[in-house]
Amino acid sequence: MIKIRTVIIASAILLISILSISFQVINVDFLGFKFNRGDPSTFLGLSLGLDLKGGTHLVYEAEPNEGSSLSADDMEGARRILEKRVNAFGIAEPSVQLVGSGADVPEKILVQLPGLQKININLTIAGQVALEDLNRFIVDELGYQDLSIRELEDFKGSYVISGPKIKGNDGSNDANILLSKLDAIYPLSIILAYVPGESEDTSQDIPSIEQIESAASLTGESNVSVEDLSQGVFKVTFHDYVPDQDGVDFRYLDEADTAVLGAPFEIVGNLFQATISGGVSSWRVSGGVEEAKKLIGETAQLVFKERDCMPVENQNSEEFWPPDELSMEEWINLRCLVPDYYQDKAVALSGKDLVDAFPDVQPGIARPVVSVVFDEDGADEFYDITSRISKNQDLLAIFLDGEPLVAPSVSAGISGGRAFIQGPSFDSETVKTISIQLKSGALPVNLKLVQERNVDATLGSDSLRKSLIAGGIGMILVLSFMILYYRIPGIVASVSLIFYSILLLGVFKLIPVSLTLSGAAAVILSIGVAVDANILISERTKEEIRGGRNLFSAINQGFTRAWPSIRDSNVSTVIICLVLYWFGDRFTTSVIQGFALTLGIGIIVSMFTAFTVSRLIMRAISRTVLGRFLNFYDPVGSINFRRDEGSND
Amino acid sequence: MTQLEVLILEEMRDQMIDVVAKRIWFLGFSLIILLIGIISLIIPPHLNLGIDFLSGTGITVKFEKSLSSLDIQSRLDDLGLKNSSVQSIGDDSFFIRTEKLSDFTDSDSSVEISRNDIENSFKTIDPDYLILEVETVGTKVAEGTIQNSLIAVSVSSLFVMLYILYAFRRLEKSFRFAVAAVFTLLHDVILVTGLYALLGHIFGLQVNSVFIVAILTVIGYSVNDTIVIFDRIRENNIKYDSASLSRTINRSINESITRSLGTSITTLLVLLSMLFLGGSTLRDFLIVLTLGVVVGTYSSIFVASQFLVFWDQGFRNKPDDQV
Repeated sequence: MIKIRTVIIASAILLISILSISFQVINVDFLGFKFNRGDPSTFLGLSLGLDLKGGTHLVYEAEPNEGSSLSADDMEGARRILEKRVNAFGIAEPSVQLVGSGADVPEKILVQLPGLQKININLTIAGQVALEDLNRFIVDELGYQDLSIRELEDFKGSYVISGPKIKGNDGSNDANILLSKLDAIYPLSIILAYVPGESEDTSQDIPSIEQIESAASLTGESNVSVEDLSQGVFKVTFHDYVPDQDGVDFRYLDEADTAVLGAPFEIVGNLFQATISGGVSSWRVSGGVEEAKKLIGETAQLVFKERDCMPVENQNSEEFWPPDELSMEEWINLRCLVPDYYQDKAVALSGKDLVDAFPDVQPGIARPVVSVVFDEDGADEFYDITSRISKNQDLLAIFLDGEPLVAPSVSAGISGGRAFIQGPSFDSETVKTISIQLKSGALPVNLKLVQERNVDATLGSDSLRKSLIAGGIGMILVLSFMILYYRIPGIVASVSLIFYSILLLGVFKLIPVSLTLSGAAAVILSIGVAVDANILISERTKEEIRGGRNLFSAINQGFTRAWPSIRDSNVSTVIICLVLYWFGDRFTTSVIQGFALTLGIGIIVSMFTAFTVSRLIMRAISRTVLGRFLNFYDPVGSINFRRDEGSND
Repeated sequence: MTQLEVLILEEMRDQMIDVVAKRIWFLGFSLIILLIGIISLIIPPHLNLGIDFLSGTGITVKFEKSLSSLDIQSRLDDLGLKNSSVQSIGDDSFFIRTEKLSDFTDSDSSVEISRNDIENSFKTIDPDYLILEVETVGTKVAEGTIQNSLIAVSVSSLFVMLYILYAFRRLEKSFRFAVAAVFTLLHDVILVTGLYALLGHIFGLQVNSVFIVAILTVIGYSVNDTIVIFDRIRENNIKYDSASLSRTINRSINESITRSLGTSITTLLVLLSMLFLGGSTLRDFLIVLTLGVVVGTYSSIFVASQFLVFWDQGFRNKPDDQV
């Protein structure tokens, strides 16, 4: 009997599998049912594990804060915080999970950052540069390959260029060469806005373009162009200007740099405002992994203190004041600078009172700042502190992770709970990091990096390609062996194995299961298992034919008799897979879990194909003309075209 | 099929190899190999343990120029990395093993050299070189790996034993089958580990977490193979009720030997083609698996079922055994 139902189900499953692997990306959104699978850049759109895709794998071990023990809540809290920080990288599918080693409380956190690149360049370009234009220039015109360019969401005009290495088509392998090319295409430009002066003095009128041009020649820069944007607004572009490099991998264009260029323009008229409107204003090359480790593992604790300085005047001892025989002028300068003269007092305001922190710019401040927003209680407290400080001419001292950051004075109480923090070393990257760390909060435990693994994407893709080819060749050898030795059942097994491979890939894609190198190994083993099921069936069928049964009933008997061995041997392997999957998270590597999951799925799929597809085809074939040649079903039976007299089904 | 042919086939089927009668040879053979394996595990340097077990840093680099491992070793020596080793893995690629580098926050880091120092040093010999992989394992993680590996193997064995007890519950003395399966499994693990240690001495193969996966695979394969034969014994035990255990076992082995060989040949075809044609990343894994398949097939036929016969009748051969 060939059941129509089985045929339909098997064909439907095959169709779904073929469809799921023939589209790179599956994106279904039907009546609120959302289903997204696949990856546009991988083989068949399969999702790849970290070892094939490249990326970073970090394991942190938690140590309780002094005097307390680790609790499960603390660990979950720490995990959530790390997850928030990791999400800020904007890479696809990061994972942060708790791993234990059998103790009640898991004490390790495993962070996986697939696709995290080796080199990251953060750059800020003044003026409106579209991401597509930048991308076209760097990738198409300069021929830099393997670089991805994206714009930071919360910091317009800041871009992150990342890739395994910075290599142009001219063979240059240096980030600074890329920088000089960017400087050439995005030259520094300044917008000058003049207003008419109040006096009758004609030199205070809006200057003419000629005046601006002659002022430009005084800057010492050649190749300067001036554009009149009408009504006293000019755009001056310095085509050959190269800002001073602040370090090998770092530069920041600040007011000190532009002041020299801007000076001649202040003489020719009443300069109201000068703003940088073009040019690469900041540039920073960093290793992706180093940045990641810094952002993930370190805490950002913001502490506010009231710097209570000794009073300016002391009514009780006017004669001896200021102390240490200082003049009044010196005293005003030093009273909040020399630790002997002030005391930092704790206040009831801390990073915990923050509801938001984000990178920001403030007029008149060259470097980016971190804007903070306090919650209601924090805002009240902040108002009280700032009022007190302004009255006593004290300072507000701000510490980040115990390091003094800034200590501004305050002219009046600040209400509304909004403030910004500036620091002498802030750049677009540091303000971003600090913002994320402040917003995600302090870690409830101390984390120590205990394992680190960085895999370059080329290693994975190279070994995957070779393994796939080798696996394919192995598969062809297996099929040849099966067909030559087992003859017709071998052909059936081969068809069934191809079905199995398609089905397995479909399942991997739809669940989805990330393909790793250990997973690939599990696939090899599961092919062995799938072949084994077919061999067992073929052997049993052969025995039943030799035992004198007709073909159709021999096939049925073959399947029935092979079933207990296939079931018991596979169930015991699945049990091992379950144990491994269960224990896998104790190991700080996903190798074992990936293996167990892939093998488990492979075995279940192989049992399914052996008992539906193989059986279906065997039964169907036995009814055709091929069913007449019984010896074709027996490895040692001689091949002659003698008709099978016993066939009378 | 004529009656005569059936008779001839019956006759052929009874031309069985008497595995049971020669069991002492097979067990002796196993013992000798086991002994060699155990000796190579005992004599220093034992297993060539990788950083997963001993902590340290492993770096895989690929150069565009062709360099020898001595060139790289001298660079590392110049930097002052004393306990480092360089191994060529083909394709102008090398695996460097060294102490934990200083950019690692584990407190017992003793070296003052960072990844950056190594990168800069390599840049001077080949500016286009590529670091393919860097892995650093701290001491605590390394300690946990050994412990967890042992636990995983023990728990897997226990559950397999329980399942066999259940699956063979109808059989007399079914616990013997469970014990035999686990004995075979341990036999395979020790044998493969021992052979790997031997190869480790010769070819410098390392034991890392991939090795653990490979050993677990070997366990899976071993149990799978053993159970297929046990299943035959279970079936024949019911079919030929009056036959002695040793005869039933001998019959079962002979009936399933083509299957055992067929399965291991096909698995080996895939493994060997991957071993010789695939990338170097999986090489160690595939070596363990290849050993495991050969050992697993051997042990399911010559160890697992012979263990049952030994338990039943020791060294004696019953007259019934003579075919």
